[in-house]
Amino acid sequence: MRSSPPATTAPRPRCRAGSRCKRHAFTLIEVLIASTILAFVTLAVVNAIAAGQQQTIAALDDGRTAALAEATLEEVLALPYTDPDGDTTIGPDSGESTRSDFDALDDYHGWSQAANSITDPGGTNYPDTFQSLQRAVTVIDQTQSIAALGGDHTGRLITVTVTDPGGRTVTLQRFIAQPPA
Amino acid sequence: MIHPSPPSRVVLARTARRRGLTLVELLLAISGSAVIGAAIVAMLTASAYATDEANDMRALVVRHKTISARLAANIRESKQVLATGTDYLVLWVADSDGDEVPSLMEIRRIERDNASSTLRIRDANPAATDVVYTLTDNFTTITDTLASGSDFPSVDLAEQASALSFTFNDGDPTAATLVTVRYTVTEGKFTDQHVVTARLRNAP
Repeated sequence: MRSSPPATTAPRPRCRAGSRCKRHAFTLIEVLIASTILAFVTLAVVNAIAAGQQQTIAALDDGRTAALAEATLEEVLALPYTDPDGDTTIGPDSGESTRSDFDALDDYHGWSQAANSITDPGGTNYPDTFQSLQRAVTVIDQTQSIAALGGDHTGRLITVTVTDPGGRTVTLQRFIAQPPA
Repeated sequence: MIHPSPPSRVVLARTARRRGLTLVELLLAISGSAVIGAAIVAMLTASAYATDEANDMRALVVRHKTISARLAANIRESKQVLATGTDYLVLWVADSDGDEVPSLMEIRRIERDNASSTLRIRDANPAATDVVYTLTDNFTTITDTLASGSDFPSVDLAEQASALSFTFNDGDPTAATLVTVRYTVTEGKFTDQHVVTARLRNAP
């Protein structure tokens, strides 16, 4: 005697080869959305890394800009306040056209160096990494009130400006009081 | 009579009917994850490299600042250049004994050691016996000799320095008022030259 086979053994309707199957796959839209999200996330990560790198490069460049400004101010300050020839007008004296002829700090008024022509006080070129910078110096008569030194003092204000290719500037100023006669 | 079918057969039958991955599907899945994995590894490597570079560059910024500050300080507090050449500068710091000539206790040498690629500064050992020189002495040979003894010890200023040179605002270095120092240091992947100008104390 055989009983009817138990229901559990009955073949369940399943996908068979060749049959149209109701299995759910990703649609094109879903895949596109997923890859767009992935692309944006990747882009954000890459951007963050690149931005960090840019900041670091900028720090190195700023260091050079500041170093050139310091060097320029140092160069101006190496000259005496009072012109040995007795000239009292600000700016280079007649016959003193180049920086090696300058003999007082006011002679640097209006002096500048354009990009690709940055040289040290001895005339030797700066390294290429500095050559994208440009610098300018102004010297003006000024009276500053210095309370600790008993009021007004006449002197000269030296302003050194170094500009990088991005237009950012480093400006250094120094007031030099007129030495007593 | 009812013969219950053995349960093991049912399980077997079910298992047999469950569809596994075909070889092609498996290969596709593996190669897909391999591509994604490779992309992730490449991204991580690139970001690690970028981080390394950024660290080196930041270290370079700091090194330039400290090295140039110390070089400038050493030059500013000095009175006159006594001798110079490739990789060295001999300074007369001050005429502290007032005899108008340099002596061992009054000189300083900024130098780069080629063998160790180190920038260093030599000052007289305070315990040494002072030696009085004249301005016309050859301070290159004097300091070269001193450097090999214990009377002129050095302090390291920077490692991995591949170049050091000096220029002056006067053709005669001993008459110069401005000293420009160029030095090149390496930090990781970067080798960079920096310039610092300082005026000597004899400048107005």
